[in-house]
Amino acid sequence: MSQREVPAHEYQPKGFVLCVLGILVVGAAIVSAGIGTVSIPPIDVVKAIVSKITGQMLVDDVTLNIVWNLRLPRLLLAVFSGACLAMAGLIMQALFHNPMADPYVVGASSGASSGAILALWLNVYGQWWGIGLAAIFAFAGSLGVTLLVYFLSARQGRVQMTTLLLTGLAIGGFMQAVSTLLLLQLESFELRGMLSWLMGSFANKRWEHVMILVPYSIVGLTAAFYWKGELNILSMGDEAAHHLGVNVERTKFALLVIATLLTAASVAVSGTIGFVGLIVPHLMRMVVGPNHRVLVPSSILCGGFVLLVADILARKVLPGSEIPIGIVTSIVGCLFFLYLLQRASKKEQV
Amino acid sequence: MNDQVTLLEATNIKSGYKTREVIRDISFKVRSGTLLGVIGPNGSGKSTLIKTLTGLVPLTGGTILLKGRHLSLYKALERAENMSVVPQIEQPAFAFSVREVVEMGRHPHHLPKDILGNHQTSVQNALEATDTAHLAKRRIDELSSGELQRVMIARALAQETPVMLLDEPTAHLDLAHQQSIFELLVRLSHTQGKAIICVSHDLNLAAEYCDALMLVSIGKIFTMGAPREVLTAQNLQSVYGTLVYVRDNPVSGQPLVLPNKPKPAESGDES
Repeated sequence: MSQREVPAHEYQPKGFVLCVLGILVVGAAIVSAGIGTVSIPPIDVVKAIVSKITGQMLVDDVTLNIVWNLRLPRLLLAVFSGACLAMAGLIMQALFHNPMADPYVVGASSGASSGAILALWLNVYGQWWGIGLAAIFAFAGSLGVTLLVYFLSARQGRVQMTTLLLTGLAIGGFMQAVSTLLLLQLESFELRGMLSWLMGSFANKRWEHVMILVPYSIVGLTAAFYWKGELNILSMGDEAAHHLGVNVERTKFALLVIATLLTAASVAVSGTIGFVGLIVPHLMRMVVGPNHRVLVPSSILCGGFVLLVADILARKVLPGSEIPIGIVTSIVGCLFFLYLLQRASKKEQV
Repeated sequence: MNDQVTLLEATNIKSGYKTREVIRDISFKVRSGTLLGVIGPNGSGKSTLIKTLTGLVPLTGGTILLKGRHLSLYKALERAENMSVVPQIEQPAFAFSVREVVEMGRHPHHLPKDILGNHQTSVQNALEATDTAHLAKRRIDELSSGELQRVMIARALAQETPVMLLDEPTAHLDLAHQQSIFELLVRLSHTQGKAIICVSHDLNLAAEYCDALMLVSIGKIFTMGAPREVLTAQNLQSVYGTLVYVRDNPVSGQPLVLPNKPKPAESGDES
């Protein structure tokens, strides 16, 4: 029998990739913290954080205040939002055995933004049990729309990818119409704010916003870590997963809820940031391969890094003003996506 | 061979899809150490039978006992500890390596009690038994269908279950690999005491290697028994609706089914 030794396609080693990503995240975070109306050199950023933690004053009060109260919440939101969206996308891709799926496909994002718009329209920007009401509306909208899409697509407890995609498109269009209708009821200054919120922004974010996102992220990301074996098996197909001892429909449902939670939490505080959930897992899969044991941590780090960089660009591209981060991710993400499609179709031809 | 136990028992099972009942009434027992071949024409319900026995297609009647206990009472992990399945292959969506796929077979055993167990040995044994060890680092989307087929068998082997179900495991294999897979199945059943059910379209391979054959016709068992009893020209003609010759394999003595091409003179207006 043929024992030909074919060169294996080697992926980058896990430890190396995670180290590089970790360094990139920390580096981008320090650069990001230095950017704003007042520029702060990286060394002072580090000093300010060290001062706050140790209690020793290594920098002046103003710098400390800017770094700790303005810049740090902003960059933490970028890191956590990126991690949540990347993880949500990764889960969706595994669940639907399709590397082109993302949280937006099943309406998690359109539901979340409709919910958040509704909350703003109703003027209920308050707190409930320490959690922002807008976040709760967004979460409810997201979960509601995802479940609606899921159940409309389910046939005898099983979900077909094509049906799900089309249902997601239809419901997404409907939610868009409802959102626009609500938007038109807003005053023009509110509308402007809402529109830039819709495209995503980390401007004027405080520790309170971070505190909204962090609990969801920690629960969601921990759950995703716990299920990484199941994510591997599910991405082989539902039938294979059944044979390998996964309770398919229950696990899929749980993972869908986690993906929704991650998306909803992120959209609720940071707005609808496009393409991260699609591109980041895709990119990491090219680097580390499809094994979720590596893919989960590296996508989380890469998601954080990508949004940090996008946030830096959003503040730097137009002198004197800031553009919504979603515009940056959509333009860059779209180009990258087209590149991936070109690459894939070239590969087919060879 | 006296301590053979019944590992899988189906009693009057019925199952199918919303509008169509496919399995209409099937009862049988498989003891440990037995290799049972399931044969029958296209659409007779062979694959649905496998899917029913694995719990993928729900029962509409009858009972399935796995090691004496109702299949529906098993938790997903427990079921996968006792029964492994080689389904018909489909193109994978993600480019896992062969080793990663076979390691997934260890999932049911990934419990604390087995955390320090012999995972790598099991995986390596499964790879070697299916002649895929040299492919371990290859990506599954770059394999030929025959190679992918063997990887799927390796994944089921890594589960190390007392019951194995295979749906046309030799469909994409060349002659040498067809024989080696069946020899492997014989070894697993006879020396390790597994109960193996294998759907096959290749009557001669099935006759050569299986201890018993089940001839399925329109969702029922037409006949079941030793290959010699099942593979008669008469049985095959009534079930497949075509003429065949059955001769003895001069080497093994097992029945050998050959097509019986109608002679031009008898075939009338056939072109």
